[in-house]
Amino acid sequence: MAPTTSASVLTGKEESRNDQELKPNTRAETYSRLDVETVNGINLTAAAFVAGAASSTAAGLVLSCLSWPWLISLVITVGIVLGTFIVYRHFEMIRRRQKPGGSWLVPSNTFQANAAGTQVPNTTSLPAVYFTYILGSGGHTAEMIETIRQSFRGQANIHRRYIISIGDTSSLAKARLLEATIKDAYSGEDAQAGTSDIFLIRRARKVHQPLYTAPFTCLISALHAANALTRMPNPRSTTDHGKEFRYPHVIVTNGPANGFIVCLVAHLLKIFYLVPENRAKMVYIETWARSKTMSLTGKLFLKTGIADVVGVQHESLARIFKGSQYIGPVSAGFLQR
Amino acid sequence: MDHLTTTKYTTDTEATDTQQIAGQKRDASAITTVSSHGSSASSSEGLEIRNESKGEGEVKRPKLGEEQASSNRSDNNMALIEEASIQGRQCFVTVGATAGFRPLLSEVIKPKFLDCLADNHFDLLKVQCGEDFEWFDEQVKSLPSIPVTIERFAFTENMTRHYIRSRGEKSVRMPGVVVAHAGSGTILEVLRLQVPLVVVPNPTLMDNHQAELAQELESTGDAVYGRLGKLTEAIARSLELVAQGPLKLKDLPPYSPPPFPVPDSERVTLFDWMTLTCYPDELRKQQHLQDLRDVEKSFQRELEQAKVPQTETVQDRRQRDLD
Repeated sequence: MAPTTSASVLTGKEESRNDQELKPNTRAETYSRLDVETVNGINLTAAAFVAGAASSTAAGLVLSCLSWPWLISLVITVGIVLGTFIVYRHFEMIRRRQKPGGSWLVPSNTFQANAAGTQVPNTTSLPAVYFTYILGSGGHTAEMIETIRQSFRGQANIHRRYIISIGDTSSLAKARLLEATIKDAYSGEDAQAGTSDIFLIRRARKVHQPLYTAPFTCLISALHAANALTRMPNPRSTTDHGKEFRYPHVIVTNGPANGFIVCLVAHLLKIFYLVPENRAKMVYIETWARSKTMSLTGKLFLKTGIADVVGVQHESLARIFKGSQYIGPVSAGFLQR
Repeated sequence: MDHLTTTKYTTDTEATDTQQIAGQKRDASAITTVSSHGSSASSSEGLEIRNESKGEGEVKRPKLGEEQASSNRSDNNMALIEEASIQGRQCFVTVGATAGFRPLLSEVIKPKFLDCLADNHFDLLKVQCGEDFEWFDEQVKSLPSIPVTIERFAFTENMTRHYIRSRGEKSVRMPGVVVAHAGSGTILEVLRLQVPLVVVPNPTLMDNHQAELAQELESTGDAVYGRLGKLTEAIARSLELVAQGPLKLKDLPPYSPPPFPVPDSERVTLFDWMTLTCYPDELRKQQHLQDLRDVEKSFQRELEQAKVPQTETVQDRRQRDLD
């Protein structure tokens, strides 16, 4: 598959170039360089994802020798079948999730931070805890970092993956700084802090990019996202519970467009059975700044029903938008309201 | 601090010097500005030139205690200077790192605003200009008279220490103010650091939710909503809030970063619960434990209430019903 391999090589080169650019920016307070995952080679799942697309286009080309009416009717039939399949799976998944008593359901009274004395949910005995955080631009990243800090627990079975857009150097620096802070807090007991890695994915559309190339870049971006979501973390691949680390348990995003795209890709992967249904739970967290209106991304998540939890940080917002849940001021930190 | 004063300012300071603002030590900088015209006029000009040339980048200012006493000082003020030096008020203006905000920059160097700062005993105006740094620099250089020192820079990686310079700490520093664009990251960081905040939404960028945020903050008393054109009122209101407000922003202990990792009782546990949904058996077990704990907690509360008989307020009753 020529297009896909060249894409990965391109990303690899851009990756290392990015690293070179970033090295001079590392600050005087030396933090250990996090091993940035270089995207070399596609894993099986992403390959399957793209195989479907490629084979259908190949089939289309082959069939182009057919006369027009046959071709059109064939394309339409395939389109209808595929479309029906996707829509049916989508609603089936949502229905299964919303069924009361289903294993998806999380009681709402546990969303708020527990008061002193209550047992925190204990995930230390699980074989794996795998979080994927999608970092966007500027203010989104700042809030996401604070959310991670507020929810952080030092456990050996945790793996954190950060998904960052190529070119977003400030988010990359913030993620590295956070990991360095974590490492400092657990210095000497390296295993306690868990493992982490960073994936850089291509933006769906750069500023000033001509629109006719947009579908291709979207596809490449989707490919990178699929790779980031399904690639086994390197440090875990050889361990006992390695298999449990194959797919993320929770994907967290708080607003940027690439967050929605990655979640959409995850949803599609689930639809096509490439990712099991009880993995890749998605959380969308609305910014603390919004107490009366919801951002566009939030509304998208609500309408499409992709996310398992659409969390808002103000009760007023939860009341206005049905389907969203009040989760407390998770990115504010200093507020104990 | 090197100050350039006008007659008006001198008289004001004289009048208010002997007043005691509740609980606050007097700003020593106010004292240094009481200077006679004749002798220090030329030295003031000399100072002016020096300040201008040091405009670019970030300049370290000496603490107030090292300032030279002026001959016009009253004994009262002399005593205060000789006490431990307290850092004076800083007004820190920030436009953020993403977009320019020229209207805010031009407003903070208008004479009305600068005089307001000087009147309120600010001795430093620091401005993070973003992309408009050169333009702002020129504007400052073309000002006829400057009542307050103006430092300026374009961008910085570490904003925290600039915010802290405006943080009111007991016996260390007078509370200043941060005048910020309505970016959520900036706002959250300033509030987290417990620094008095004025939020100025950018009308050109506004997609309604910036003003909404500022309004919300004003109504909860966390910050002051600063409107372009009325920033002097905002500053006055902020100082008022600091003096009498419930947030206690003037006598804080010295800043220490919050503990990391966060103590278990305050952690956000949402993601843990979601992870548990991937393992249904474990989830059921944990939910069961959680229910048991809740029952235990409410039972203990009932016991305590039985031990201490007191009329239950409506709020207590509501709280009990909620649990």
